[in-house]
Amino acid sequence: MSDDQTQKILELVSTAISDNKTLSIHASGSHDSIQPDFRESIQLDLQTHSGILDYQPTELNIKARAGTTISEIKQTLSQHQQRLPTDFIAHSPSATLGGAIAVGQSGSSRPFQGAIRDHILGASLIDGRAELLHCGGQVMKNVAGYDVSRLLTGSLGTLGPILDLTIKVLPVAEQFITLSLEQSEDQAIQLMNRLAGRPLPIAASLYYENTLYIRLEGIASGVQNAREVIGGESIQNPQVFWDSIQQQQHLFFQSTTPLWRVVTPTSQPAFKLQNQEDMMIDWCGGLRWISARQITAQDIQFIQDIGGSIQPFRYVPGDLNWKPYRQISALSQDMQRKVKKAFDPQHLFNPRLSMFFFDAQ
Amino acid sequence: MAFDPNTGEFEFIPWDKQQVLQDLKTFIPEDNLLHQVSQLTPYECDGLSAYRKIPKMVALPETIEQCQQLVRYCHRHAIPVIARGAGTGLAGGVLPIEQAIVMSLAKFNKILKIDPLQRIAVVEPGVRNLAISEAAVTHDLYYAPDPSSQIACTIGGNVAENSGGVHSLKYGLTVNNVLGLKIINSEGDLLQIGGGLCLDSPGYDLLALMHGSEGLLGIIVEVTVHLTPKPEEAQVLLAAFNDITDAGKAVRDIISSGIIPAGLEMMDRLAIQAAEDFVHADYPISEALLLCELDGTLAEIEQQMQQVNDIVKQCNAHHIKLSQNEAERALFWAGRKAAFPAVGRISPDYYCMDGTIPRKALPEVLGKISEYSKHYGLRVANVFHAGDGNLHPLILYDANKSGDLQKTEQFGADILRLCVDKGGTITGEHGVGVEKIDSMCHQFKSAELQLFHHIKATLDDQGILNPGKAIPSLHRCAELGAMHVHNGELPHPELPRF
Repeated sequence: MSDDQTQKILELVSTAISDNKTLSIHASGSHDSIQPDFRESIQLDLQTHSGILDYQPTELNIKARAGTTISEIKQTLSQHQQRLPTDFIAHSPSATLGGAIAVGQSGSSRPFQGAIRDHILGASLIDGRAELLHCGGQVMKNVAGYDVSRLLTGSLGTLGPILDLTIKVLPVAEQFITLSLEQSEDQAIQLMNRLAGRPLPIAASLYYENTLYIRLEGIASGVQNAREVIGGESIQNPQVFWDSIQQQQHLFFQSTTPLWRVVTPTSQPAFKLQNQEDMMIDWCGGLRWISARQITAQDIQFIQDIGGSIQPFRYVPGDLNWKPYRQISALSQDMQRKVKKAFDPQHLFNPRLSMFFFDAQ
Repeated sequence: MAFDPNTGEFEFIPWDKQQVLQDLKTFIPEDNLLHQVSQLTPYECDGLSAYRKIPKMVALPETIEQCQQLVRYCHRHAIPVIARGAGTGLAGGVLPIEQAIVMSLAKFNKILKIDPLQRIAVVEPGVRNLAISEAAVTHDLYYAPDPSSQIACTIGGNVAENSGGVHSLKYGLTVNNVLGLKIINSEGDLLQIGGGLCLDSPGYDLLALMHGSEGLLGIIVEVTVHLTPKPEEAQVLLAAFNDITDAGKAVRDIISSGIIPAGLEMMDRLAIQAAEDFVHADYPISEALLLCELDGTLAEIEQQMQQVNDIVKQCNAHHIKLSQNEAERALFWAGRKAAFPAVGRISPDYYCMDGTIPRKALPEVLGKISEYSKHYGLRVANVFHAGDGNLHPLILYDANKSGDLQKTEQFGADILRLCVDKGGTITGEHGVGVEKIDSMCHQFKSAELQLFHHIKATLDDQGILNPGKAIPSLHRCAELGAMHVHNGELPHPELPRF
């Protein structure tokens, strides 16, 4: 069935080229809240382009169509005592693999287990010339040709629809616990960074409301040893806690105040933006979720000065002033514009999302 | 046009050496511009010494500003530029071409910053891979990717090739350990790529695009790397097998048991014999040898080493030995790390391949390589990163024997073709360079190659950055395909034939 579907998608893209129309690429829509709903004249829904294509546990990778849900993949892997190689942000049970890669946001384990892009081995996509392309492959090491499959991470569909992906998988850890320690913000930032510099099986560290949470994953003896080194209390139902972060169901994310995703150096000491109401620190200090009614020019300057970046994370429907805060230099924008042109010379795919990468010319 | 994105063809106009020299002297110190044959000879090849070409000129800029001026000058005059690190690459990635200026980054050899709390190092591109780990050792940190040439190869070259190493199964490749780059684009502008001090940055993942791009998309002038905490302990188990298939099964069973070794390496009889004669690592001479390194706390290693021990026993290992101390661990590795020079002692020349295959195809591919070896009448020593499925068959030949090199290259191309047919790739970590450029035609269709050419053309409109490497022109593939018509299907049928 899906080969026919690939053919249909190819035809759709060909039609868009010849009719000079644009396409919006969608899957489950679980990330739609990030930006306004930019519908183009042709809708390409990849949610039904689903199914696991190849999974052999001893090869430590899985190949699946883009519309396969993250939850289906997790379930399949768990039957073989395997798991996704790092935390994927999945806002709903219908969140898809292709959507997660296109959005490219890594979950809490990013500093310790790598970003989502680190675990992509291969991808198939259709470019703006209606060509079906296979890049990368199913092996761990591959340096033939430019690394197009990793480049697709975070591309928001603007380089073309992703049809299938091969990602690495890992064995489930023998033991998994989460320690909680009461700390001030500055103490917590120091401690999470100091611990990350030691050979301990830390998988994530997060700080919220005076509590530092440290997730340990690994061989039982190593986890026990780390527990003694770090101290603190082991929390109940750690899986529920971390799922609430990755799925953004945690109380912190329920606030109606606009939410900002601020990326900073991990060891950046505590700071407060001018209208800040609440903050959660993830990624060992490298990601600060901040809720604030408004962001000021001084806030943006401060974040740029420390080498970080800020993005509005939630679109408030009807907000006419909405714009991505790009913080990409003119030269870098130019390079991104050229990359887009190489893939999609006619700007067919999600054209209005290009504003995340460069200014219109 | 110097560079045609539709086909990947390029052409450069000859330039006057004296004139260019005069011009370059205005912004690069005269002593740093090499143009006499005696000065140029060291730059005639990289680690793939079968291919040589003395460049017309070599420039050794000392500052980023000088690099930018040189690239701007070359862009203005459509002169190709080949950026070069230590020249340890194995694929001819920095082989000079007619009319190119080689730009050596050897003078960029400073470590600019180490931040132990943030676990990063900011370094210039000419810093040696091992020097980063040496500088970080006081903080109990190190830079994890460890290509065999790490004592000499530079971090800029590692990024350009996306180098791996024996520990990449657990710790990843270069792309997984670099946070940011400063590059000079084809027009001479300086750009920050990636997050720099952060774990993420807005925009396309250009950092991924730059890794393994072999100097075709930009010139790397600064690298920010992630540093890894040094494990408390590491131990190696050495297991010998009478049948290479059993060793392959052991690899599969170790991985499927849920263990991710820090290193999992295999060698065959010829490689074992050569290594043993060379470094006396106490290797038992057998059909296959497996080295499995685990790292972590003592308790962690103990727990998993028992499992590894049981698995290799079940797979009929006839000799099992566990390193008892750091000196013995180093000795076990010494044989593996010296395998290439060791093979160099038993043959006048050898040719190192770098295909990667799915692990499950290991026994079949090894069997086929052995058949090819008989067919071509050339010996092969197999050394490989078994955990990654990354093979390094070393084909033994004598360059002084007429026809031997051609036979060897044909043999190598057959191996790479086999890797692709088994779902693998023609290069796991050495890069394409000039060496595997024809094999790229087997791995990719025209549409994919064309996309690569479009990427190149938009980022380097004149095609001056290391032209002719990594991505074959479509005409080249078409001509090559005509020699290998498969089932009557002509490859790249869309191209006109002359």
